[in-house]
Amino acid sequence: MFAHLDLDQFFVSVERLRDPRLCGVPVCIGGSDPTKRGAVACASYEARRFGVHAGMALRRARVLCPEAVFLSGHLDDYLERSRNVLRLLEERAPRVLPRSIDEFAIDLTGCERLLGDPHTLAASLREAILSEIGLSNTIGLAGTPLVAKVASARGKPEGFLAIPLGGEAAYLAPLPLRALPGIGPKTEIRLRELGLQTIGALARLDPEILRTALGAMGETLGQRARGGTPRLAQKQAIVPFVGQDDGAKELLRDGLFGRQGEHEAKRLPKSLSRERTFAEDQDDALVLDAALVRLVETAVAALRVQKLRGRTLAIHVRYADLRTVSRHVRISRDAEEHQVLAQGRRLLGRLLERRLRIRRLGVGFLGLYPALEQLELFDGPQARSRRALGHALDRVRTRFGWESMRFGAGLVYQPGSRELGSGEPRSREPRLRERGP
Amino acid sequence: MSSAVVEKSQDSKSHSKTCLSFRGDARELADSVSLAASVSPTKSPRAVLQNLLLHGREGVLEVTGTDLEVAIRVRIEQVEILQDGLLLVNAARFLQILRELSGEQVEVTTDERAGCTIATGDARFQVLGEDASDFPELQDWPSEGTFSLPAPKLVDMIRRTAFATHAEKTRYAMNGILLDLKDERVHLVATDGKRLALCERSLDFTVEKPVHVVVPTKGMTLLQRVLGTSEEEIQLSIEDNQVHIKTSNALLSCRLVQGHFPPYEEVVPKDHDKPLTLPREAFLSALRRASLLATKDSQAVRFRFGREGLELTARVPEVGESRVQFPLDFPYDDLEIGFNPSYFADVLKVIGTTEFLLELKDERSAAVVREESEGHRYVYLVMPLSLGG
Repeated sequence: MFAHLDLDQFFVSVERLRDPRLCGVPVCIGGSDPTKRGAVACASYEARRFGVHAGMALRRARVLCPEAVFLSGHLDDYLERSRNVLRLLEERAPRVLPRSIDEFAIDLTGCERLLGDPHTLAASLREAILSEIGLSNTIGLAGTPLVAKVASARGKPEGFLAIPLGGEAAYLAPLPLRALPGIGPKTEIRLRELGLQTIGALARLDPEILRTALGAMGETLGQRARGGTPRLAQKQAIVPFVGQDDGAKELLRDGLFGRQGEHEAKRLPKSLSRERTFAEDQDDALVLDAALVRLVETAVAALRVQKLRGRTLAIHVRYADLRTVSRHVRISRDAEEHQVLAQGRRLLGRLLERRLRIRRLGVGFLGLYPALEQLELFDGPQARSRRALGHALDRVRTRFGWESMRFGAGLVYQPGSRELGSGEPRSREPRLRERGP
Repeated sequence: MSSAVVEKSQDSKSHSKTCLSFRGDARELADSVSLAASVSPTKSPRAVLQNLLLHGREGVLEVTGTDLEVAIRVRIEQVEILQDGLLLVNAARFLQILRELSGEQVEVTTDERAGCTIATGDARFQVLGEDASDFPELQDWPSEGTFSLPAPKLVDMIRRTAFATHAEKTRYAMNGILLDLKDERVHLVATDGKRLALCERSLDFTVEKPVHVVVPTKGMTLLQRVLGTSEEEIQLSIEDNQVHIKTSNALLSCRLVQGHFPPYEEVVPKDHDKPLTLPREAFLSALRRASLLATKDSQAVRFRFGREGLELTARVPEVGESRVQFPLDFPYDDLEIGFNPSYFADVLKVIGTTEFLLELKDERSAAVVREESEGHRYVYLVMPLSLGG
């Protein structure tokens, strides 16, 4: 049997643990000022009743639910608690894979004799997370990880839904198409064009037709509609990533969930990018440069944690007129962070020649390859300490949070920016004082 | 910036009047010409350097090529000089023609317009030449401060070190081989910062004035080619920032690499406590198998030494994984260490013996391949890859 544990309204639950006054009122995490640009990362059930959901623009959420409390959130705290949940599950269950910051897949196959009835075990895990960590959650239990996930989504909130072994396909059959992971609005339209309304209809459809209609994805969907495979595949955890902050949470997640090891003989990601949308279209060179520094910093750190390097650096810019332009440059094999930044600055300088305000800035690395750390014979103290700096930064940040240490050049404060986890807007001076040298 | 050649103003009139003309076997010519042509840059802001200067006098043809860093003049005696004179001709084109005519007698004649004609029985090429006076002239052989070295010794030492130099120009001092002469010993040392090859031989004379210079890799490998299997003694001279080398059939001038060569003696470890004697061929073959799947971006093999022997594994993202067992006796604590396999393959190719000595310490210290005999010391260091995890 497989269990799928989903933390109910996770970000909101954590905020309520921090401040009990938030209980019972509609809460939206994503930005403290809903008149500004930004998106909802998590909405409480009270807010959802008004039609607010994750991914929605903050301005729209305010229209739908004006009385909601808007918060920018505390990313470090979410990660810390997610880590606690993972630790608890790992202590008590044989194999746990984090699927995202608030979802965990648990493999209970073949341990009935050791750990007892899966139902009892799953129920006890649910109870333990509620009582020991204080987070309400929902567990789905089924013969395949996929159906367990669907069950947990249908069982929310505070639910426990077990699907009898062998009943997976039957359980899925009457559900609407969108309940199946992998079917989004676009795919749903395609399937409806084929006359399908339920997952059951999809399961019965000739695989040939599906392949013709949807390509390789069609086959996968058909197989999922029949219940999926009873195997827990290692999959990269993906944080529901709605806000457009600098991606710190992905970095920490990568570190947190242990993808730091040597690369298996597996597929590598093709690219890695970090981007940031400004609350107001930006033309201040100082602000843009600071944003670039932060983006390079986070992207390089993310590569470092995953032990990857990029062959090409890309700077993407979306101008105020919504035109998007990218510039690329190849980077040498042993380029260090400050050299990458210098390259990025040159590219950004060229992009600024268009004399338009910038709405969104992105930094990406393409052509990723495993970074092998070749030790040097004649490492000067300077080179050695520069190399050590990155790893030291990673360690400090894993312990004390991403914001605990930053490069000074990235600290120019931009009034009104929406940054997850960085708190309320502050004026530039106090912030610099506060960070210290 | 000083160069390997001295630019002298030459009397251009005297050149144009004396029209070189010679006859010889195309293959023999091509062999010698290719040595000089290997120096000529294929692209250069100074187009004249893409040429070779041919100078016939006193029954000998001298071919000179230079890129201003390395210059070489090759003497060719197996030609018949019909008329003394000078000719400046495009190196690549001249060599290509000679190679194509291989096995035939060719006759080269220069005309008044500094062009030349290359003719065999049934083919005839008219090649435009350039004004010979534009070509920089090789510096004269210094009259003093010379010493001699046996060619076979030097060739072997170059072969054992040149491969370890840094291929990119970014680390300037490593783009050459250190020539170190002191007391009764000569050292050649090459490193790219990740590995180091040190070759030491005893001399049968005492060096009066110690030498410590870095010779560009290009110059050293050219010298290796020039000497081939020759048994002669060659003459060396170092002055200012040039090294001049005289062999029986060529004169080489090299601009020395400026810059600080890393303190190589300091990194040669003395405290390695895990010596192993390994069969060269078998080890090389195991290594080759383990790295079959390696791509350019992931050159890494994990060496796991233990009681059961050695296990070589390589995991290549996007490709797969290889695992090779190699039987050996490892009477020490288990050791797991990563290396770029090509760094080992390189050295195992130049070692001539059936067995070699490998010394290890820990996963962050260099592995040492060592060969020592009377009057000969060869040490090769490879820094490991950090396996992390």
